Amino acid sequence: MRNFSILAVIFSITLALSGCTQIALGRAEINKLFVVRMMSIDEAAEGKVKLTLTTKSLSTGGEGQEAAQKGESIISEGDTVFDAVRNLNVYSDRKPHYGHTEYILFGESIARKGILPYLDFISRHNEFRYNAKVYIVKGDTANSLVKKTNTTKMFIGDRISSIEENIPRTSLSSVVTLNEALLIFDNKNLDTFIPFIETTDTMTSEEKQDIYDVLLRGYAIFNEDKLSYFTSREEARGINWMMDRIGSGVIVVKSKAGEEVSMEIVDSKVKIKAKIIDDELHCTAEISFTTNIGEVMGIVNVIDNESIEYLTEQQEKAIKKEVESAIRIAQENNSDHFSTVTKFILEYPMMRNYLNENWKELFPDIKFDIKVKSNIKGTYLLNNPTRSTVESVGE
Amino acid sequence: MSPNARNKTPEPDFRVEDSLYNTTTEITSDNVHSILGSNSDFTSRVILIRDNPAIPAVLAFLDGLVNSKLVNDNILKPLAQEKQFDTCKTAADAIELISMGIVYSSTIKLRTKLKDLTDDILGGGIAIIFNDAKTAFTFEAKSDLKRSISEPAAETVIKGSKDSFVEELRTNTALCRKKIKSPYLSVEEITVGRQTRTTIAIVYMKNIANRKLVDEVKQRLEAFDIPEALTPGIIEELLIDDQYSAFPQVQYTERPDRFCVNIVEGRVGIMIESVPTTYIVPGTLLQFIQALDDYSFHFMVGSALRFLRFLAMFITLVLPGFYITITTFHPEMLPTELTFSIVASKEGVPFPMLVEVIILLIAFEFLVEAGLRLPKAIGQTVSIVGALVVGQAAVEAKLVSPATVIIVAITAIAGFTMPNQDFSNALRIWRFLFVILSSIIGIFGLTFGLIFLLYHWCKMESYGVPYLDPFVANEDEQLKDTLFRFPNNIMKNRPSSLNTNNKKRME
Repeated sequence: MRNFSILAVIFSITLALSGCTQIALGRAEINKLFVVRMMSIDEAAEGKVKLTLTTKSLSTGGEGQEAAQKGESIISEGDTVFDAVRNLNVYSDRKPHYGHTEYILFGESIARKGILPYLDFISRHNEFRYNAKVYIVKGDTANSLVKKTNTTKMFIGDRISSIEENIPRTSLSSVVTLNEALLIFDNKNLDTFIPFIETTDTMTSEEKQDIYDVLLRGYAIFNEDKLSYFTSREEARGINWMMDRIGSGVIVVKSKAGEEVSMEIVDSKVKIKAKIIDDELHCTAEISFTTNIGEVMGIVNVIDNESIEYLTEQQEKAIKKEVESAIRIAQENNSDHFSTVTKFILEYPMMRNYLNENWKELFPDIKFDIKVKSNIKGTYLLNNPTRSTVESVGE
Repeated sequence: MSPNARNKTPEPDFRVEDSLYNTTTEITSDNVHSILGSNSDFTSRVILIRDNPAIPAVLAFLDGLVNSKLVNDNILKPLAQEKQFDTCKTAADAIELISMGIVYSSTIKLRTKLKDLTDDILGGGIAIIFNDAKTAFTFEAKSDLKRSISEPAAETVIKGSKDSFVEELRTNTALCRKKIKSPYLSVEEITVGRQTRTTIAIVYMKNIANRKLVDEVKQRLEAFDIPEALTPGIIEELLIDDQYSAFPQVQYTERPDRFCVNIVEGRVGIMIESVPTTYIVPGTLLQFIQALDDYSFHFMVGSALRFLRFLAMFITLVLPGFYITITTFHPEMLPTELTFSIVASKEGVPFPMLVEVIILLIAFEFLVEAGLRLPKAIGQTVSIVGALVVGQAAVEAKLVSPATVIIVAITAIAGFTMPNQDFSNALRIWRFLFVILSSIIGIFGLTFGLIFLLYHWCKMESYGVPYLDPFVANEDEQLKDTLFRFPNNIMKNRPSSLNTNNKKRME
């Protein structure tokens, strides 16, 4: 009897301390669930919220038919996100399950008004994963993007996932998770950057104009929780340099002979140092990277010491320009998305309160010093371009 | 012996077990006849030693149990032809000569108690009864009613000896002696079973095994007055500590090598007459997961196989319950793509996940049971029908989802990796409990089930040795032969939980 009492206590503690109060409600057969892969939030008329929940359609195509993995969406409106979620139950035959929500999309217009109120429901709900990725839809509503891209064979979620895998090849964007975004939103002096996606019909063949592709190449910069501006390609990579998020990428520079040479970034390291000198805030970014020569658009030999030195100088200049443009626009918009304030607080912890209270006034006047150091490591299978020897013999 | 003389003998009361011997204590051929005479296979005849009418004797035996050639050549022939009997004038003289070994038998027993005499005849002996002296001699002349030593059917190994125990107790003890040529190997015999009077041999190493353990085994076997001891389960129940646990508490084996390894380790072995299965006590959880092959292969391979078996144990126990849990309560625990695969496979299936799993588990139990009961040739047909009906037709008819079939199949295959069938059966029972608990409150139910199982294991003991030994209450060194098997030369000591007389396994 005593043993059973002990077991009963263990059992009760397991249930009582688990924080799971809805055990009975939590039970649902998996095929009765609407497993949400993507949640799109837009603004609707009269200040309402439009919610589009998308899942992967399970139709795998019959015999002789081409299998398509399109998305299946359910749409709802409400005064708040929660209200919209509950309104889904009016007609949906399946219970939405948010445990697999990988993407949270915001339309441009709602992002400009501020996204924080809408993230509250998501961060409060127990099913959402904090590693869900957040995206802003440039020039369109999130609902429209889902609709347009649903014409392709591939499910939009899988498509974004594939593009994400390619991000390190270009370093023109990066992935920002819900957790990262919420942490930055929590700090009043920091401004977040969230990657943006847009639709385009230029990437597919000309015959099928109604088929849209998704592009992922830049950041939406926020001032507090409101969308401020979208970056260009160069600025996006500049941000990635400052945030040490560079995987690879191509730097196109001109050789001495004026021919274009593509340098592939193979390795990079960034060190940010914060200093206060004579009451002035100085920030030094020490960037070092290694490249390989990936392509020479010509027949001139670029492997000699002098040319290598020249190309090194050129690529350093190019990177410096990218970073400076990203910093300039950030300071112009007074949007510290490089977490500079954190660097200064770490360096000067005693000035924490002063920095926190006055950061908005201090940030635009910080003197940034960008130091770039690079080297060229290899040339892949060719040392000299084809025919370069012939040319030199001819000389 | 006249029929009238037999009628004078009081009829024993067959409702009382020992009344046979209480009423007729003297050894006479009539008394033996009153006990065994009603059997058609009982044979008795009067013989005259060297045709001397002054020395009559009665030959008694059970036909079929004795080898008639041995009886004729080694017992009757000397009694009829040996000239030394010519000097005998009374039965007492003849008894003396026989005691000195004039009859050609290595086992001559002089019996003065009727009970002993009857036991010997029932055990396949041949008796020469001297009515005048109220004495009898019994000789062993057993017929060859034994199966030859073959390869063990239930415990196959890749490397190692291929012999197995048989039904004949003496053959089994001989097999054991052949492997352990030590004077310390002790074989003690006791008789169990009021009706069957089954001989049980307790085998141990005198210099290693803890005497208390041996005594405890004997005490347990003798404590209960059971009518029969023909099925191993009856003896097993006498040996175990906790009758209400589904988990085995004694090891069984048909393999002499496995039996001997355990004896040398300090455990006590039990051999039952007419049963080829032998038992080893005490039994702990780890022993039911260890296989002899673990020690036959290189220690790395052995360790990998051992670890795989632990994994299989966990899978076969938990997988169906866990599957119900994650598909019914916690789908967020699944990888996204797998969620969609399961949803797609479940599309159109009318039953909830619990019913699906239960249907398949029961169907699998049917198949196993049918396969066991049917003759080998038909057994294979059952497997094919099972595979077709369950694996294909049921899926196509949308009665069960393919994902559930795969889960139950993995569960079943993992269960088959257990070297001990009793242990595997216990896991099968607990698996159902886990399925029910998981279907009620999800992962909490499953966790509770696992806590309960752990509690149950912790509570269990076998002859004072914790069931979870050496994971609990033991020295560090013992862990070298648990989840993984270390090289043999590192394991220098015997299991400390056995409290052996000689703790050093090797110097």
